[in-house]
Amino acid sequence: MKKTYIILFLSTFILGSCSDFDEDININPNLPNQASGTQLIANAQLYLPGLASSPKGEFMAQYLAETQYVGTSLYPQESTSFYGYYQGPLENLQTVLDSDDLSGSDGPVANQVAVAKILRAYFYWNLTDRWGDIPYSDALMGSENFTPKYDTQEFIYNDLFSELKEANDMMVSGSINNDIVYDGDMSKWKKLGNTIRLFMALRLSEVDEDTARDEFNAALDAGVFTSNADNLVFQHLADANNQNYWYSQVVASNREWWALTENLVEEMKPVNDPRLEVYGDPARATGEYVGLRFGEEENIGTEDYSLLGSQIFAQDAPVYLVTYAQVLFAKAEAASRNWTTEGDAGTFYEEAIEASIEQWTGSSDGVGDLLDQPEIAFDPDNAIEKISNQRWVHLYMFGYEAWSEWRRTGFPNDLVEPNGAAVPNRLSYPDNEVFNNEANYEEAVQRQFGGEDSIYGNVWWDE
Amino acid sequence: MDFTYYLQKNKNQIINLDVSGASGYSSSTINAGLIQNQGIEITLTGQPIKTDDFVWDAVFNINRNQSEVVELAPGIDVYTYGSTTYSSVSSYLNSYEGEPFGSLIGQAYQRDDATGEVLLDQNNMPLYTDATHNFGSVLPDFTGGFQNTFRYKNFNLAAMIDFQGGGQFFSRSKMLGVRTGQDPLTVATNDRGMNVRDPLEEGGGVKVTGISAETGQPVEAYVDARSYYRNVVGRRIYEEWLYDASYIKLRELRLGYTFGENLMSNLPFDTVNLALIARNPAMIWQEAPDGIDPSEISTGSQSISWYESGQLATVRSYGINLNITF
Repeated sequence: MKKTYIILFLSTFILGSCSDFDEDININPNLPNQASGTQLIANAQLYLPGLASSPKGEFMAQYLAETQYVGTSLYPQESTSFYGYYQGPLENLQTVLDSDDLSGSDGPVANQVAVAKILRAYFYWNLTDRWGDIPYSDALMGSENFTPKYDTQEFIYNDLFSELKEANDMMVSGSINNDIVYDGDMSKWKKLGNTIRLFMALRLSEVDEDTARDEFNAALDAGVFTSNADNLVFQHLADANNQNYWYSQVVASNREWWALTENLVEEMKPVNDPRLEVYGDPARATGEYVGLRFGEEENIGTEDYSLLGSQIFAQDAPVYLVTYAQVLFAKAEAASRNWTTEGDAGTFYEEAIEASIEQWTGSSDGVGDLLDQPEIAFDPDNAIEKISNQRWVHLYMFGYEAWSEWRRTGFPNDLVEPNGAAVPNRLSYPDNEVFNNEANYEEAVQRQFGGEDSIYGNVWWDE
Repeated sequence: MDFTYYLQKNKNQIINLDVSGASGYSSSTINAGLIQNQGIEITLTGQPIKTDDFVWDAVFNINRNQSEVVELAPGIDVYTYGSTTYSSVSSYLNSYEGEPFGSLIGQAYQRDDATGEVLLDQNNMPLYTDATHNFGSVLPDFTGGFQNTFRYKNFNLAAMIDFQGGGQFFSRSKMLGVRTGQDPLTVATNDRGMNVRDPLEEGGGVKVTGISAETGQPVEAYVDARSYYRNVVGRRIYEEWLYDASYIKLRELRLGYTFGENLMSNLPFDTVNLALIARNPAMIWQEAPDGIDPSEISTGSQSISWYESGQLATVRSYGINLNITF
């Protein structure tokens, strides 16, 4: 009898209690499922340093050599995934652009859209330069299209030019919130959009000089960076959630896996380049700067070579992405290609080196001495080579960008071919595209590279 | 003798379908598909010997299952069930429409069309495919067991044997052992009588044979063991680390003694049985190399085992069992 009562009591309790909760019980307050437009933009910005901070990128430009587990720097034929960029920053930015209810309380809606457009263009530009044709117009449609087609790089470049122009034209006065890059300063976003357009234009110098020149001048007219204060820099913080990739490797994981290459040290040490002491440390064994030959596999002691400089792997180190010095190098190149009539290539070149040294060392000490070195002094007869070599020194730790410029100009022309393997011309597509998006993948590989998804295929602007 | 034939069709299952990441999404959960399983199960039960003092009971069973993915979803002909990535090299367990469930996909040697020989690059290192080569189904052709029980007077001895024919798996333990130089293969003596680790100019190195991709000519050469094992074969060529999962295993051995009623008469028990038990006493035969137990492979929480990665050694346990009936 007693048992029955207990069962009855329990049943009432169980049956009766269900309706006491409303739907809120299923919502986890610690897991927000809605974000404002500027929060999504901020999240996309968190992916910016990842564009540069990558050992693979540094190997492509031969800034760093591996001191152990030598493998990736030997340029193996391997696929590299781009899925993370689509699923992360691009999906966030597309959500902002597709939204019809952005809140004006985070700043003018037009400005939020313009910033999202600029960042989306910047990510897509990086992706197409690495892989070639990529999903673009069909991409980021979620369940509406699980098999996006690949657009040609030419189409993507032209569309990004107009996107960047549109972003420039639509900006209004008033800052936006949650901007961890420029703190809402729209004048800087405006310059950034035009500067990206300027660099994209320059990238077409070999494949379509007319478009390159026209877009270059249009970007200049619209207003590009005018000082290092305009730079697109991702500033890491001295806390574990926002720390520099190289800090997590070198300090947190205690990995002395990378040394400065012989190419880099030999470019900088003989001319007493003041940036060298920021880029790396002297070898511990000798106190001298010693570069490691790229692709060396035997008898590598980390005591004997220059490892990464402490400012490079600081927890709160900045990551430089789009910089004023590059603008000056671009202007120097445009002047020597006669794309522009204003200014002198040699002057721009010297200003570029000065801006670079100020960016990296925080002062202009040593600029005069460096520019007096005969190896550094501008030479109009070898303008592209001089500019490209110094731009390579400047782009340290953004190897992917330096690699693109190497592919375009061919300089520096003394990169090492480890075990006879030439520097790749692109990244190979993610191998699961063969399962997930077969027809479009095959079509893109056939169209560009005659059927072989090789790291030695040439992207459109690199023909 | 029992004989069972079955034909099972599973329709509209919940499938987590991988989609192109360029859509912004990673997977889509759908109701789709038609997967068909058909097979036979045969059980033979017998008593080959029976006398007053000695009885031998035997049970033998064997099962054969054939699966086929009849259809997935409209426009989709491949379903990725699982994947694993190490050092940026991936392999997958995929199912293709019209094929048996669970094909292992990964990087294989590039081979010459005419001769089937491995293609070599200019450094005589093997060339490899993308992670798209289909190595075929991981599922076994047949599985079964054979159980024997012998009773002699008050003693009884039971032996249980498991076996499996066919099936395959990828061994990351073996691959990493070779890649990191822990495996005996990396200190082998080559046919010039030198350790493969010795410098090439002193007669060391691993011998490779194949066809030069550049010239089309046969090549026989020696290559640096570390580069060969660490960067190429031990990192990228999953074909080298695929093993046949066939085995015959003595799963359990049990020796018991039942105390007679005469002994029990002054105790309040009906029967008392004392037994010594050994579990996993012996792997009688296996196709895969020693050190990897194909009968104990588990791939995380996935219901199909298709690769092993740092498998724990199989435990052999001994026990005493006392069984008392009142």
